[in-house]
Amino acid sequence: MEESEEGEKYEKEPLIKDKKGLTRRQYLAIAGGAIAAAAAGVAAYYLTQPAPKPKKTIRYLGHPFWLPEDGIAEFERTRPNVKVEATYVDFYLVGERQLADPSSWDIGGSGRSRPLVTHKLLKEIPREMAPRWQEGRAIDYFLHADKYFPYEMAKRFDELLWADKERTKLLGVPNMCGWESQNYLPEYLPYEEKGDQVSMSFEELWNPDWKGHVALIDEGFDNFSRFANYLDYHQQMTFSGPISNLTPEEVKAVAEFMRPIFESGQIKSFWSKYGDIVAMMSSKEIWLSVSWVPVSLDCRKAGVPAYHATIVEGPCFWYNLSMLSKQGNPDVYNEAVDLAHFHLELTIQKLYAKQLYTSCAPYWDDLKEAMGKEFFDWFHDGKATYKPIDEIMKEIWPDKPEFWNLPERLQNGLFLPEIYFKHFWTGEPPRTGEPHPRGNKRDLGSIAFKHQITRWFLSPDLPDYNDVYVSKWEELKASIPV
Amino acid sequence: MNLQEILAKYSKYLLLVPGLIISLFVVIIPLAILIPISFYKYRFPYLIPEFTLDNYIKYLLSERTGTILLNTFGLSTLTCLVCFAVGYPFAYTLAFKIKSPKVRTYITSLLMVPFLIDWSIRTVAWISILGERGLVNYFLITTGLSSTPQKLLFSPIALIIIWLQTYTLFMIFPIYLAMQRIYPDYIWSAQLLRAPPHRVHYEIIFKLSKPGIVTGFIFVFVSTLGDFVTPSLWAGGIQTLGLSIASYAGNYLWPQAAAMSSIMLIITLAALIILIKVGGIKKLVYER
Repeated sequence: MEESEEGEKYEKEPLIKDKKGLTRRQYLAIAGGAIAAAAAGVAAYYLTQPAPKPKKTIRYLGHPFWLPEDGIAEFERTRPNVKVEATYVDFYLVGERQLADPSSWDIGGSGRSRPLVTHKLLKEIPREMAPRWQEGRAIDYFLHADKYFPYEMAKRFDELLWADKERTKLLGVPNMCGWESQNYLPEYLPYEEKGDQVSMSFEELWNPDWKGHVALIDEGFDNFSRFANYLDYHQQMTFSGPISNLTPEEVKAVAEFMRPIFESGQIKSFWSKYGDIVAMMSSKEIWLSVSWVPVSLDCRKAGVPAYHATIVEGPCFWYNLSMLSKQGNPDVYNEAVDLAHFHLELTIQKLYAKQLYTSCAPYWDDLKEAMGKEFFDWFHDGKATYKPIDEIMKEIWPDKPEFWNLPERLQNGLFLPEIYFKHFWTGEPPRTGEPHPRGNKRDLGSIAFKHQITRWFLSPDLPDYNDVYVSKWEELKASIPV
Repeated sequence: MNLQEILAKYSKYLLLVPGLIISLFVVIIPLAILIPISFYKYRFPYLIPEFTLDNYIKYLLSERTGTILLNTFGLSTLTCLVCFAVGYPFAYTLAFKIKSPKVRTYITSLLMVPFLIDWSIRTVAWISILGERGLVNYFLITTGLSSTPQKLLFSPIALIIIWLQTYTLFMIFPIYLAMQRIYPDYIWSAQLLRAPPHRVHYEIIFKLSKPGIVTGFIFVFVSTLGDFVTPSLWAGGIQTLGLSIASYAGNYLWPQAAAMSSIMLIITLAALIILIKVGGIKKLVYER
């Protein structure tokens, strides 16, 4: 107790109050001080660090098939000073975007690059800047198209790829390629795929047994070219030039052939979004469709047996490429070429192989080694797996015993390479052994076989009279009975 | 007039400025670009800025144009009517029969659920409902109404069902809002004067909800005209004008696509003017 000057006794107020006594203002002052000190510390730390190098930003305009987000992440991880800003657009619309505003992208993917080539909107890429692009390493079509296609077609092929006659500069770096025809469900169509053998004819598309269960791609160029290939193969029509570049009269003649098929109501759906055709086939609403190879894989993942057909008339060969826009940012030219070339590297090949798309330059030791002999030979040479299909079913579908005793025809339609060859993605040691007589063989077989049966290429071309194609296609669709 | 007076007189229009700016950049300028392009010449893949009427003449004289326009406007009109048949009773129940605001909120929220779901997932959902192994066929077969699965998908019927699900909301809401604005006194007065129920409904509720009905028709009509993805996939392959425009534009044939868009725009505007005139929307709005 203290005593005042007047002699009264009182209790002295403590300098620091107990917890009830600390005022709100004091709390705020202490907290504010702590925050300010922390902020000052952080600021001081960053100010004393060396300034990070500013990142260069590459603007990518394409489809995720060509450059998936996983690929971008890996590219950015390995090139810390580069950032990729990706804009993804549907395959059949991306070309229009690229042509409409060539200054909005530095690098783009394409499966229809002819208009960009004609408009001279592509920046050339010296061949030496794409070191994986070499004779003997790339698919042979790219360097010797004239060996496989008639003169006029080979000329169109080369025009889309090479910037000069001497072949020192590329118009783009080809990334993925493949052979394509039609997907079908073997539960309804009595066929199966056996590697290097043809299974069905293109004309199954208008077999009335599947009426109302057939789908086509919603693009005139694609369809007229496929029908022209059929008519040419069976010598029902002769064409003056490449079957993928018909004259207006030829387009009309092909359309006349197609008209009764459309008028009969045979074709029930036209797809342009990948997910839609997968949904329609995996739900078994559509049994046969002109569609891309991964559709069959996605059906299989849903437990629906599916194949990609090796048709008598031969599939089409296609490739897509990564191109640089002339009106893009010149400061990121080297980085953009690097990204284009990155599409040929192992990281991206791992992503493409999941869709069964082939690298345009697959004959490299790192790819061979990572795939292992069994997968590499299955993928490129059409060799059988080392295990028989019934054993594979147990491995791929451990929770689906109903698949273990299915006929082999359906079991092969449920084969999932992504699971059976998982070592390629996990880094585990590959399987060793010998091809089994009852092993799985990939649909469409070996590259050598495909070279033998392929008569034409589709992507990245567009025909000279595309307006006639579009108009006739519209007319055909208008003839479908309502 | 000094500045203060000018400001006082015109300041009320300031609120319109943001909307007008957006309309200018998103509607007016693109249209101003689109229309001249429709008169350009074309040689694939080049756009030649020389005047021609060919894009219009060729399209209008083509044999297919009649079928395509009939498909397009016929299906949109039919969908409007079906949406009205479903939406009007729904809006009426919501406005007059359900008293609890909470229940109304729940119902309107439920109506919006499909819009929260991605297009691809909705696609899968339609297969499981209308597909050969779908719910509808399951019901038809188990009840003995049909012995074999019916082909419901890939037909104009499927298209109308899908559009009905997608766009009924655009019909329900304007009608519901119009109905909510009707003074209950009008209805009570009519009832007091012993007007028969059908006359009360027609003379008061229906006539006073006309602005909502016309607005609903406009919303559904315009939305279905512009939708080309649904017909492409589900309508069994029939061609519509929206699909043609998408196809031409996607193939770099911009003058033709622009000409078709202009034709679509003119026909749509004409249809809207007729709808507004027939619906007497202006009179009804100003009378209130």
